[in-house]
Amino acid sequence: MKTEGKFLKRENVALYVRNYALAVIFIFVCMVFAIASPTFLTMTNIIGVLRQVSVNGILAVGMMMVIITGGIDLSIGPLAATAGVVSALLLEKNEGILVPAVLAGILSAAIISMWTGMLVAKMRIAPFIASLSTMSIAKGVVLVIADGVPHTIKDKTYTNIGNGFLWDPSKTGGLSIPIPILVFTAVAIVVGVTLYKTRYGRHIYAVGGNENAAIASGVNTVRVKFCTYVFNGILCGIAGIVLAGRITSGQPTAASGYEMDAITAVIVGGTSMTGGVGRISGTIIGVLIIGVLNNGLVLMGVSSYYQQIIKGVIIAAAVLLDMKTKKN
Amino acid sequence: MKKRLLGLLLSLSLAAGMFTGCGSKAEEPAAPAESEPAAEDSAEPSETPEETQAEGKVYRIGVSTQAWKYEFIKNMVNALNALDDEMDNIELILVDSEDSVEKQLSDVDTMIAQKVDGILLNCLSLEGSSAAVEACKAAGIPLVEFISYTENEDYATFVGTDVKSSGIMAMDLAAEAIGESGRVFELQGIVGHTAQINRGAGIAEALENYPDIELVETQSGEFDKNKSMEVVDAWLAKYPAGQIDAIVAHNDQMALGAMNACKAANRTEIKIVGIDGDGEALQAVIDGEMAGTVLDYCEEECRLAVEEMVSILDGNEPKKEILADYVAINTVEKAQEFLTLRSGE
Repeated sequence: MKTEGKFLKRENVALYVRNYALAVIFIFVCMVFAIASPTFLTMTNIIGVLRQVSVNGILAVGMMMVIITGGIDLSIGPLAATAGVVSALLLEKNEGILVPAVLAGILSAAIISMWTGMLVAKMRIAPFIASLSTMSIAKGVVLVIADGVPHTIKDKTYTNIGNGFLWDPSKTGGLSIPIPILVFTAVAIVVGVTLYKTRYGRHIYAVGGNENAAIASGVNTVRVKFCTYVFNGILCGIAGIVLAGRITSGQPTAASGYEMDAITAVIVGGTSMTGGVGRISGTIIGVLIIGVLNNGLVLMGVSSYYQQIIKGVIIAAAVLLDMKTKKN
Repeated sequence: MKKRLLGLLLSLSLAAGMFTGCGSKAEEPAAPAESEPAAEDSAEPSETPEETQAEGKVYRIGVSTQAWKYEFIKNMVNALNALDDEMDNIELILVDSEDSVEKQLSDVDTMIAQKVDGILLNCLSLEGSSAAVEACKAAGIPLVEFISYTENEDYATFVGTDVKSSGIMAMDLAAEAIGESGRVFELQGIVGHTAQINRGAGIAEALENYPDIELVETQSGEFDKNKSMEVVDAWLAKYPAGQIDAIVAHNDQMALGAMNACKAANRTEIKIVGIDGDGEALQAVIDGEMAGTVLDYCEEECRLAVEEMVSILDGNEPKKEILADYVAINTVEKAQEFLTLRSGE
C-alpha cells in the first residue's frame, strides 16, 4: 500500500511535468536566476520584468493568432512604429487630443495590415512573402510620415501608458502594477476569449488545422484569414502605443526586429508553425521565459555576445522538451 | 520516456550552467586587451580628482551603451573594461542595448533594481532614452551621460565632444592636405541626422577661413560606404582629373567608400578626409590612401565619464558638462599609435 502510494505520487509528478512542461521550464529558469542573483526576486526587478515583457507580449498573442491560421506576419515591427509615429505627430500638431490620436495610430496600423490580409487571403500569396512586402511598405510609409526623425511625446498621460503605474509605487513600498502589464493582460483576455469562446476563434483553428476541411464545412476562410491579419494589426498598433509611451517618442525605426522576439515567444509557447495548434497560456509563458532570460542574463553580467548564444540554446531546449513531453 | 525527459532537463540545466562559466570568460578577452597607454596623453583637460582608493570603497556603476556590434562602441566597451581593471574603487556593470531603446530603458531599470551606486548612460536616442533619466532621478541614482546625450537634461553631467568641432577639424585637415586652395567636395551623412547637421555646420564654418577653397558639390552618402562609392563614382565621371582636389566625408565609412572609388578610377591624387577614426581609416592613413581622419577619442571620454561619476559619488558637485577634444590624425605615427591602442597589443 505504502509503495503503491509512492508510485502513484511519482506518476503524478511525471504527469504534471508532461502537462505543464513549459511552466516547469519557466520556474526552473527563474530558480537558476534567483540563486545566481540576489536582485532577481526583488520587487523592483519583478515589476521591471513585467513591464519589459508587455510590448513583446501584446505582439506575441497577435502573432500567435496569425500562426494558428497557418500564417506568419513579419511586418509587426514597422506596424507598431507606425502607430507610435502617427499618434505622436497628431499630438504634436494638436495638443490635448490624446484619445483620437491614439485611436488614429492604432487604426493606421490596422489599415496597413489590410494589405497583408488581402495578399494572403484573397491573392493566396504565401504569408511570409506577403508580410515581407508589408514590412517594407510600412517601414517606408512610417519614415515618410515621420520625415525620418523621431517625434517627442510631451503628453504626460501618453507617456504614462508606457512608464506609469496603476498607483504610485512609493506609497506602497515599491509595490504597484505597471500600466503596460495591464494593457497586456487586457489584450490577452480579449484574444483568449476570442479564440476559445467565439465562432470566429474556432474558425481560426479550423483554417490552420485543415483548410480544405474548413472550406468543406462552410467556413469562409478568406474572411477568417483577412480578419486575423487585421486583428493582429490592431494589436500591433496597441503595442506600438505602449512602446511609444515607454520611449516617450514616436520613432520611425522603433520596434525593428521585434517580430523575431514575438515569433520566438509563440514557438517556445508550444504553438505549431504549421498552424491549427496553440494556446494563449503557452504564449504568455513563452513571453515570460524570454523576458526573464533577458533580465536574468543582464543581472548576471553576462556579456551580450554570450547572451545571444545562451538564449538560442535555451529556446531550442525549451521547444525540444515541450515537443518530447507532448508526444508521449 | 522519463529518461529522455531527465536528459533534456539535464541539458537545459547545463545550458543554464553555461552562463556562470561564460560570465567570467566574457570579460577576459576584452580585459587584458588594453594596458592603457591612454594615460600618457595627458594633454587632455584633466580636472580629475585623484582617485580615492584610500577609503577602500568600491562603487558599483551600471553602464548602458549603444549596440556593441559597432566598432566605435566596441572600442568604448574595451576602454571601459580596461578602466574597470585599472581602477580599484569601481566595479562596472556593462550592458549592451542591442540597438533597442526599449531594451536600454529596461536595462536601466534592471540596474536600478540591482541598487547600483551610479549609472553611466551612452544613450541610443535623444528623445527615446529620456525615460531612463526620469527613472534614475526617481531612484535617486546619479546619472552621467557620455558620448551621446538625451533631450531630458535632468542628468548630473554630460561627458562628450562638441560634434561641430569634428567638422571644423576635418575641413582643416583637408585644407592642409591641398595647400589651402582647391576644389573640395563634401559627402554628407543621412540628412537630418544630428551628426550630419553638426559636422556639416563645422565644415561650413571652417570653410570661411579658406577663401581659396571652393566647395563644389555636397551630396549625401548616407553614412554608408556603398552609397558613398556611388556618389563619388558619379563625381569622378563628371569632373575630369584635376577638378577634384579633396573629398571631406562626414564619417570614415563614406571616406573609405570614396577612397575605393578613387582607387578604382586611378584618381589617387584626390585627398580624402573622414571623421571617426575607424580602424580601417587609420590603416588607410598609414598606407597613405587617406589624407586624414578626425578621431573621436572615446577612450578618453570614457575615462572622464567614469572619473566624473566617482567624483560625484565622493560627494563633489557635478560639473554638468565636460568636453573632450577630438584628435586630428594625419600622420603615419599618430594613426599607428591609435591603431595599436585599439587593437590591444
